[in-house]
Amino acid sequence: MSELFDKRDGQVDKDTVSTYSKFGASAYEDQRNREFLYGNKTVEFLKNVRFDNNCKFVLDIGCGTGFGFDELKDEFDRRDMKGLGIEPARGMLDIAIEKYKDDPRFEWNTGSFEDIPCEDKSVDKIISTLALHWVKDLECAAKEMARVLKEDGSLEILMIARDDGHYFKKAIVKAQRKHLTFAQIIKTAGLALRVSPEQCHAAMAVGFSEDKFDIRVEKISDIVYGDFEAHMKWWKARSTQIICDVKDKDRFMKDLQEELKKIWDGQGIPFDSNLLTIRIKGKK
Amino acid sequence: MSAALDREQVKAKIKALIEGELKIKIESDDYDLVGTDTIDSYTMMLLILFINNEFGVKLDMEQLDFDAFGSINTIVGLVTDSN
Repeated sequence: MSELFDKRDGQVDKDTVSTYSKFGASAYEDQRNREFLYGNKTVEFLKNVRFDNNCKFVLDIGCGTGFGFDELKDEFDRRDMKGLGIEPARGMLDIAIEKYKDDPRFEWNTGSFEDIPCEDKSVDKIISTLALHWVKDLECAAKEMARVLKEDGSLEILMIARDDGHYFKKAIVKAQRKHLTFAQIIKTAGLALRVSPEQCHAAMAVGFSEDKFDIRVEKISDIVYGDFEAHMKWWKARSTQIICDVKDKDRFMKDLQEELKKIWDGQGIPFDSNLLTIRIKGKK
Repeated sequence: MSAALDREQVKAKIKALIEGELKIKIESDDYDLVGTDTIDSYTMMLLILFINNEFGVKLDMEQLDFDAFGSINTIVGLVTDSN
């Protein structure tokens, strides 16, 4: 298990992220996922993204299949802005490229939080939804974002918080324990970075000097109810690494259903959603 | 692990990490962290990294199980027993 100790080396785990090229990319386009839990939260977040009058170039980091620009298209029309979406998972990027092949306002490229294919101080606005947890070093990501953002630019990011799905995942781990070794469970637990608002703020401040930028990190908590099928739709898309490791997948899904049934509370299976919004704005 | 590092120092550091991560106060060093669903797998992963980085003890993941993280005392044992 030496890889467990080698992973947080400041580089994105390309094997993990590129898994979505093979298994999960199309699930992100599924209408049911767009309208439930993370899809809903992302749409709510994007509705509140604000653009300055001088904003001309928007960068979406970890753009996936282009969900962010899908939701912000009207703003791009109104403000005559251009957008660049970057994403390390080729399968997702290919969907975005195909979707926007006739719209020259949007460009797409391979890239990540730690490796942004943009010139210094060239971006007016950085957005990102539910992707920052894939970085292995938040400070490294903050420094790279600070490199490309203009001094009067701004950034709005939505990411999962330390305790997102804390209780829901306890049921998941109980099912995992019947099918995976301790080492396999711990390895999957470490795939995504999980930070508190305070830890996130501190990491952002390493990249963005608080003399020059206002940094606000807020936590949004909610309980989202769904039936087993609704939860599995998003969970499977985001948990391909776990499912890959399980030998008897049918038995695993039955055990998962049993464990989640135990937390059913009359309204449905509750998911304790905890997300962070990061808003950074140049003081110039 | 350095021979100078005693069990109480190890315990204090491990307890601080768990309490800080989970935003809880652990009253007893024998409190059942696993049976009560207090500790999560992410915190266990952080502990494994912390024990490696802080005390120089590289735990054998294939030999570990959830019970190893059963209480503050059992976690401290992972460090001191491998010294």
